[in-house]
Amino acid sequence: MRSEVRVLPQTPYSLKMELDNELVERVARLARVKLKDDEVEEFKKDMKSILEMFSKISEVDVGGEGLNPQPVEIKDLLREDSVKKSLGKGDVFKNTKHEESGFFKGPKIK
Amino acid sequence: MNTPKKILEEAKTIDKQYDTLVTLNEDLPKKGIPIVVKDNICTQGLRTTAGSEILHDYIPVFDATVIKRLKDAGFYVVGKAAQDEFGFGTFSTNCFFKVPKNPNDIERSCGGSSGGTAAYIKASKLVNYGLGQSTGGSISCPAAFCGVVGLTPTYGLVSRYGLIDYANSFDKIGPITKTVKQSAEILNIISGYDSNDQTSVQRDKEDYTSYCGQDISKMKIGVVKEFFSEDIDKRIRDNVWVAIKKLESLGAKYEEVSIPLQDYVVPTYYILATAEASTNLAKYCGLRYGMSSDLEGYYDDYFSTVREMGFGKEAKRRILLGTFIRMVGYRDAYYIKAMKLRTKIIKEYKKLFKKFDVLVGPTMPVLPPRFTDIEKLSPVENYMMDILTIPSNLAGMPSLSVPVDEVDNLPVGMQFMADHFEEKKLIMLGDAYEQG
Repeated sequence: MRSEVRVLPQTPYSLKMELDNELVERVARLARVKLKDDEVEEFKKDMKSILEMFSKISEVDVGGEGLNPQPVEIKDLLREDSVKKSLGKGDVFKNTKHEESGFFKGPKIK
Repeated sequence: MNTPKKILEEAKTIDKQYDTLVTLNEDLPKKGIPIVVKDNICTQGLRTTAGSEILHDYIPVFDATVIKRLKDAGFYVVGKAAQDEFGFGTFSTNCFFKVPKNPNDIERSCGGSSGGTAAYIKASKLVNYGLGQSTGGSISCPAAFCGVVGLTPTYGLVSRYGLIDYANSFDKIGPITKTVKQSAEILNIISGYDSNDQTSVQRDKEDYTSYCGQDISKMKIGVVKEFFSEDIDKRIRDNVWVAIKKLESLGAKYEEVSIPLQDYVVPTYYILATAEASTNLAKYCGLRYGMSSDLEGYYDDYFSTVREMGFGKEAKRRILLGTFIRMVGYRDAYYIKAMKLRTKIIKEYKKLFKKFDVLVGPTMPVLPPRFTDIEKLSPVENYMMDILTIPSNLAGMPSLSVPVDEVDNLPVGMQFMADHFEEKKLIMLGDAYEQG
């Protein structure tokens, strides 16, 4: 059956970079995600094409534009520094298997 | 009277046909108004997974602010609706639990990422109200593909306390309903300042339902040329033009306009959204909640192992991308540049809204695609499908998707976009179109 999905045009590659297996593995280590060998190959291919699409933004001069963390203006608001009721221990540990003596138990730290 | 028994029976039938719910609430109260909720909004005592294996057994101990407000207003949650994992998708096919099907044709996608909610509202005869959530178009897209109404509010209008986040500077919770007025009813309840959400905006409350049934003869509509490019399915363009002519016949004036930076919205959005997602998802480390494992090895090994097991492919892809573009050497070229470009794009829209009340175009560039066609799309082709829904989301501006005339028995959506906090204009036009 012929595909009804029309593929939209892709953008030219302009920001040069070398994305090899070593760099993908480094990114995965930084992101704390283990990858299998075939996943490294697959994600390298995907990331190359996606980064090519991303690099289109290099065409635009953004001059003195600012960096806004939010798309609308959000004013900082202060609140009373008062004690509020917080979760009981039963609720705090409800979703973990790693509670011991009223604490979260974690893996060893080097 | 729709008793909980009838609602439950219907929910089971709908779920069997269309795989819409991840979790059904078997313990419905005796009375109230039913609502279906996207599965990334926390519901006390009712499993909330965000469509991810890593949260497969997470049961929140609190209600999100929107849920608390709805319960206080007499609503109850029928079930948690299927979605792309953490909202990462346009077709609700990146789901760990279920891939919801389009009630108009079960071989086709119901859109994403709030797909289960939109499919349920389309299929149900008893439930009129749903809650979705949008980061880059996840309310409008499924609304258009299923043939229902989706209202994405202005960033900051609706509290996100209790939302399992995807990208903090984009995420918004909004209604998916059968009619525009029903969306206005839900917005009345869920909007308003919340001290639990630091990005919640303090404003006077509005009665959004009061904008239904209003005269639209003084309204000026900007028809965005780029939203009608050759890349958009011609049948969709034609039907949306018919709808614009109908609005003209109801008194509204329209004029064609251009948005020169439209070519850059998809890369700008995906750079910022993946960067934010990659930091947000760092919280899933297998300790306090979510998937865990035996505490073997050192911290990094444990953390990486749990995440390898719990995240799906698209989640990993976006975490890797987001991590990469924040790395030293690439950060300025991608992340910082995209932040500045976002500011420039917002200014471009703001300028247009000095002249026009709303901008309009089709909601999606294609008709609801078949699952067999979606499988053939590359990640870039997938991302480009959001080209019409990203503009309002990137700018934090509100949008409304309403169904227009169908093509070959498949729904088509028309999307309005307005300036920040101008939901009333969307509701006025959307309701006038619906009633006209």
